[in-house]
Amino acid sequence: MSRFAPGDRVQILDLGKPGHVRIPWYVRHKTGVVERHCGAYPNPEELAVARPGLPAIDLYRVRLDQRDLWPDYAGAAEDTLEIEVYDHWLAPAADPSAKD
Amino acid sequence: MSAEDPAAPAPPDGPYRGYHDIGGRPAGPVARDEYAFADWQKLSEALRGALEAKGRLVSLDEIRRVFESFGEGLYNTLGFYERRAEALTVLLDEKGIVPRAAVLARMDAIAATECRAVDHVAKSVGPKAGDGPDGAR
Repeated sequence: MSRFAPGDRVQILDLGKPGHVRIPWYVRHKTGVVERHCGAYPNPEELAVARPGLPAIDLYRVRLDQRDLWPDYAGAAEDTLEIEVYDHWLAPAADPSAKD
Repeated sequence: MSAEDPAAPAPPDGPYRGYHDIGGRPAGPVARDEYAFADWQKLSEALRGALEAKGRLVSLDEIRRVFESFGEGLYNTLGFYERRAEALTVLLDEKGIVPRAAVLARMDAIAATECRAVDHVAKSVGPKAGDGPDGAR
């Protein structure tokens, strides 16, 4: 059972890891929405050092608003970017429309 | 501004940010030129794929880790497939599958058939030493 479902709000973490990681700096600390679960795959950070990378880790496609990524973004307000992120780089995030 | 604020800018840099992580860095316009793949590019990618498929002798993520540690100068000197081929050469040597010296010797032999020579430090191919007034060593 995967931890997140489409529509869940998630924050992309900064794990501060050395070596080969697949989370570019510009999405770290940003919050988006899970667009889909892509399956589970060996951890690329482990594959990068010739280990098996098992057990496989859930991979999600996360949709982010371009305006959240770039302070000077001049395109349409509804423009988005999708990036695939492994489960261990994600945390649950609160729905901003929820009232306290 | 809290860590949960979606508008909070990510720190521009930090520990272990590599020179390859260029997203958001000043870079000018994106080049939109397209090129046909060269035969050597297809061949090197086929070799890489075979090494991945055969019990993952070499993984693409290992190749990425190696070219992300080339140093910025070499990384930017080489093209996309050249980076992969250079990193593959390093890994095949590390794993004891193909000695790097054998690959470099083969490059020299191929260049010699065209009366050229490889500079393995500068990563360039030029006229064979001795052919020009400044070529003698």
